[in-house]
Amino acid sequence: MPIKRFVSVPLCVSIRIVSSLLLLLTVIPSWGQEKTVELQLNDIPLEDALLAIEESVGYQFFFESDWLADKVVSVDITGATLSEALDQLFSNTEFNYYVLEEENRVIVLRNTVVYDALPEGFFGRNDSVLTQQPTSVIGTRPPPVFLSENVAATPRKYPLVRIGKTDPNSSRSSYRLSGKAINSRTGEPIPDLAIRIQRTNTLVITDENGEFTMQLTPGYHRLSTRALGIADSDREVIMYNDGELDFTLEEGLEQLEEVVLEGDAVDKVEDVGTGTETIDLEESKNIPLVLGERDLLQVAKALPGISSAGEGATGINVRGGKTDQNLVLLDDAVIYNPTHFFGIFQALNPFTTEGADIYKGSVPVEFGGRLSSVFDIRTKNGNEKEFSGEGSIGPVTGNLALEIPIKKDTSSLVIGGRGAYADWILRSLDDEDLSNSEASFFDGIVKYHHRFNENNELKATAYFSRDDFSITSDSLYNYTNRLASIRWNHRFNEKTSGALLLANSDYRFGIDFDGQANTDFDLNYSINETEIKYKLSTVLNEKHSLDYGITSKLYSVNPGSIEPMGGDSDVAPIFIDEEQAVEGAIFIGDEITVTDRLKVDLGLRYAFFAALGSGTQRTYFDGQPRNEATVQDTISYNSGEVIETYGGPEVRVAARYLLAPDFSVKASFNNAYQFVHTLTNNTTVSPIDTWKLSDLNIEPQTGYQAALGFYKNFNDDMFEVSLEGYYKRMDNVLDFKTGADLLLNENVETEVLQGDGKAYGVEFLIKKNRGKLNGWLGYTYARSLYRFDSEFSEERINNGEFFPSNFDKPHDISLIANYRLTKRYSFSANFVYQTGRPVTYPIGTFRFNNADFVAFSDRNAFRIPDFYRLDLGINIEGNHRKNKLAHSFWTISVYNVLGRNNPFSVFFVTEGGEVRALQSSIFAIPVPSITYNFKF
Amino acid sequence: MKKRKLKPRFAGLAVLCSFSMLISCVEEFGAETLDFQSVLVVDARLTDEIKEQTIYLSRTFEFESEIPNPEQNAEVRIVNEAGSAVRFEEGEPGAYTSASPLQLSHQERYQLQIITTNGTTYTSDFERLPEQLGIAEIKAIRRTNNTGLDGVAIVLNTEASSGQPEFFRYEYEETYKIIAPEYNPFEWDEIDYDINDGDGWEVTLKARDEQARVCFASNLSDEILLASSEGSSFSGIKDFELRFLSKDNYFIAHRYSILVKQYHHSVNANSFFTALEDFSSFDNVFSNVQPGLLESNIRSNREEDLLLGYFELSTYTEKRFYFNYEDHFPGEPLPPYIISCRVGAPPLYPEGFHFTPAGDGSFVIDGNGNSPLIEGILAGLYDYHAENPDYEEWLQTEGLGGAAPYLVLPSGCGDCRRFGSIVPPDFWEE
Repeated sequence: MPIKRFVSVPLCVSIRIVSSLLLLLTVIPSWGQEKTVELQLNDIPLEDALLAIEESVGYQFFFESDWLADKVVSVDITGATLSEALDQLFSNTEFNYYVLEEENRVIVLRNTVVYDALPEGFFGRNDSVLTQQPTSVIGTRPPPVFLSENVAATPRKYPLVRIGKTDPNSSRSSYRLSGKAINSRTGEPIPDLAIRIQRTNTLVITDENGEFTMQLTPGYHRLSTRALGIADSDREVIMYNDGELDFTLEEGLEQLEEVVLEGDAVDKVEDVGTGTETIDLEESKNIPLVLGERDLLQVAKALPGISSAGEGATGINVRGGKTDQNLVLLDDAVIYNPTHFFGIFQALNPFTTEGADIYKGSVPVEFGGRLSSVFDIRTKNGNEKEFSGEGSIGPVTGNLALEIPIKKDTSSLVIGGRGAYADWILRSLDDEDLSNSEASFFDGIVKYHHRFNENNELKATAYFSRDDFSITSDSLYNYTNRLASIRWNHRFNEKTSGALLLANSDYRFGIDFDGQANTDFDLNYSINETEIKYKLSTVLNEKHSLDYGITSKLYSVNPGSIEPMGGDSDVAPIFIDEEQAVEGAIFIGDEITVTDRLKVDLGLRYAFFAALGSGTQRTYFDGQPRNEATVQDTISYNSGEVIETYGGPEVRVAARYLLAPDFSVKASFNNAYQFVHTLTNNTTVSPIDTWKLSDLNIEPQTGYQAALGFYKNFNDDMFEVSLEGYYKRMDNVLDFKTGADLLLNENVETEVLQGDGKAYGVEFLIKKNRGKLNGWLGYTYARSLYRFDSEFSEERINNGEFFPSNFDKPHDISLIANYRLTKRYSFSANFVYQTGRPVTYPIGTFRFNNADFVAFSDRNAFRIPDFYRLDLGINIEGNHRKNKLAHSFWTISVYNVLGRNNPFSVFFVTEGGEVRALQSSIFAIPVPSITYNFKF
Repeated sequence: MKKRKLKPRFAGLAVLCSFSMLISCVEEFGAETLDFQSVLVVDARLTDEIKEQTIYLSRTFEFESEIPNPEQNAEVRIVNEAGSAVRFEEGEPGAYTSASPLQLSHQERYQLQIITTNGTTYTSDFERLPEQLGIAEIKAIRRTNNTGLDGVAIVLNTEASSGQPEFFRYEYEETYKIIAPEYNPFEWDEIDYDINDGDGWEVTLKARDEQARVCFASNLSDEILLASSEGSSFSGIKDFELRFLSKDNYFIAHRYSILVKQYHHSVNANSFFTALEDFSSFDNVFSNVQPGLLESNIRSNREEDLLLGYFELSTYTEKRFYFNYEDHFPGEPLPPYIISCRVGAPPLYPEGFHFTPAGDGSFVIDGNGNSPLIEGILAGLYDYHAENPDYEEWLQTEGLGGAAPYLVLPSGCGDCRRFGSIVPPDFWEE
């Protein structure tokens, strides 16, 4: 008999019995005898079973009682040898055993096996061995798992996990680890959890159901998990065989040590799409914003490629696109105007909003209908376990959000409401002018979430927002967003899951004019859309993962109506015909894992649009400008009759190649159709801009974008660097003739122009995701140019040449930095620099009708001075350790610390026959604010 | 479908500022001309009045300059469809007046033709005179305006029967009576500002040559006033507010008269003036109408030669209207006078006045040697009010320096001629 020796005994916890085993096992072997085992036991502790066998076979068993604690077995063993009996007994456990025949001893091993032979080549190899594979070195045994001592010595939040038990007959080079990630508070699965295998730096993302599968080499691994809103965790696992491991993870909300902007660190390298940003509102709460309002849209504007014309400009411009080219979704329903008060505040409740995915490059195939971007904003799922709430009191708004469990672990409700109380400030002013004015807004949201079982869940959201403002005592403006959506997520099987959703959105505004004269009126506009969408995801195999579905929308627009108000008004009522249309799409996308390094996303979407009657449409003579004089015919359409159809295929292609595990290059191309347009004759967006559907005379906008980017993470994802370039073309974008009148115009096609646009840019972003100091620095070089050419001078702008858009700001630098001093105090700063935006500047003055006026010629030929602004904030956590009733949080911030008077617009006003040059700015002096936030 | 003024002006920017009470909003800045382009400006507003009419041609000028550059030596004429032309001859530089009284027909269409000295030809569309429509009524109504001010609105009605939308442009000339609140029958006479004439400085009084208690002043409208019947169930113009005068406006303190000039013009002319107004006014800090080159009905034969202006043919009507303050504000206090009338006593000799005899018998004033009273009178700042009762006592106790012989009022308080003419206008009716 050969001398039995241990090559190694892997240990993780120091156990006395094991150290004594080492001594015992070096003892000279003796002869063994075979005895049979008879055992019938039901639900008895494993330890008792072992002791019973020990007694019956006369072998002494060595084991660590702790290992066996709580383990219960049922066995039915008859006439088995000791080995057979033990095989059976340990069959569903992680235990192995080793029989020292000579000494009648059995050593119970956890996970490991005892190596009783040295690996080949232990004493050196022959030079002639050339073809040996590394994995076959051990021969019939799997490679041993070595652990270094310090691993065991370090205290961990999560204990070391051992997966499977070594199968002595297996020589596989990797084992499968599968499992599910679960939110410890809500019990919900955590999708999009990034699980990084530290040593190899490979990454696995959990699916919609929080499930994952990964291949790991045998032995020790450190897995780090990361997801939005979820506390980071590190797990140590030792792989002995295939096995399962569920991650029960805590939410990251209380984890204030390192607040900002974690989440998608690794995603950005690994994801296939370009130009994708994720914002977690909770995590960005430290960023100082004007008047202490947490604002997802403002945070978004600090990211490269997303901007607006300036402070106080309502719309958002993404990568040089117009403001109407963004699809803003709140829980799957379109929100037409997600802002309050001229864009200064967002209309989204920061406490109920979880975050947003922003797609400015590759847009997922399920979305469409806008050329430039998708803002997919999600509301939180409520707490299913206990009642909780959050609120804030700021200088402008008050806000309260509640999470109410309806049925424990099954359903919950989120209710949020916020309102501005600036109104009473205005009213309390002495000035009579001002006390007649009002400016108020509010928004409210309710979300219900119900989990029927692990395969079915239902989400329903209802949202309403309203703004009222009046500047003179006789006019009252208002606008409202109303939306509702319901979504059913269903998992058919391991491979296929689907979602059915129904959403309705409504945006409307009105002007009530109640003056002294006979011109009192009530003007209204509204757009309503209902969408139904069914989408499915199927994981075909390891290489192919499909997303496919169908969607359809019905639009109904009231383009404007005016009615006299009061008995003595002489305003003639006008009701412009309602517009109807359907928009639909079918889509399919395949994410193809070509190799470990190369992943390709192929998507195809067919978009379709039909403008429907009833209504009338004019036709115009070809080769003539569209105006009253060139009307050829007026066609009437019956209800439901198709006026015109548009549509075409949309391609969504993206590819990612991993140059290294943390370094990738990506490219993408996509095109899109857009069938709805805003009509505005303002340089920036105004709340009374209308949306117009494509019709006989107004064609859909189309566009394409190509992007290329490099993404690299450093220092264990602490730093994330990306460089992305894009080129974009747009066709049939809308503009208007100088001095156009768009509201209540039955024939807007005579006032609008359709032209083309191009935009290109390079976006650089470096993020520091962790540490006391974190934040990001972004730099964008971007251009946005439009051209409106025609053979008729009245339909040309700037002689039909490309000119910079109102939001063309070539250089844009954003810095966001947070510094956490102690657990309670943190500081944050936000710095922005942008090239001044283009404005139309006079070419001179002229005298006409005994007064002086300025003369304008080319649009946007000049720029206002560069914009820069620094905001500082300090966040103070209340002392919430002792008294948990309510946890408070103060935010003190100063917006525009430098007091820079950034011009927003220039105006040239003729007053008393003379020209006065005026410049406006929104926040020209430092704006301090204090906000009190509480949580219970 | 054209031009509707739906957007009530946001009168008070201050509101938005106060919303957060932090916003600095709007401020004036010194605009510079950045890329000056010399563009021909055509101010050609002709009416159906039978008189000599003038077309003004000028060029754009820089911000830094105050005066337009007249466009001289151009050929200007209007042509009817039959081809017969009326020439306009240049009188004052840039002012081209019809050689004889112009008599435009409602039955014909006219075209403006301009040839400038650089050879560029500008021609307008053929335009027609709109129908003659009179002003039916002008009223003054006491009410509160949209910013909450109490005052008088001057509104007008114009009747039309065509059933079509009608478009109008208005101008007005307002004339008002001024009564000096501290009228004094005496005025300054001789002013002796020679210290060496033997009697020192001296200011004397005399009885007024002419009464200066009641004056009349006029004021021309300087804004673009447009009205239309579009969007109204009424076929003409009803209760169009032409002018609002607040209760604190001195113009209406006694008797007020307004001559309303109505220009009935075409829809396209209305569009031009609406755009001109939009580009030269300010709505609110958050909205900013996109300006651009004004669309004109006059085109040049060279694309690079831009043009500003419009060939407006309108039918003209005017109507005068009077009202008294008492008609609308009986028994109420008068609006404050144009200026604040606070009595002052500027000394004849400045305080600390001192002079030393020079060798030749004359005197040399030491230090500050200006007379506040005389300097003020010479600068036209003071009206005589009364003798200063403290003058003698001051001379006794304090001496010459600082002694003020007269009480004075700011100019205009005792003599209305600073603000108007004592001659009633020809049309004036009491």
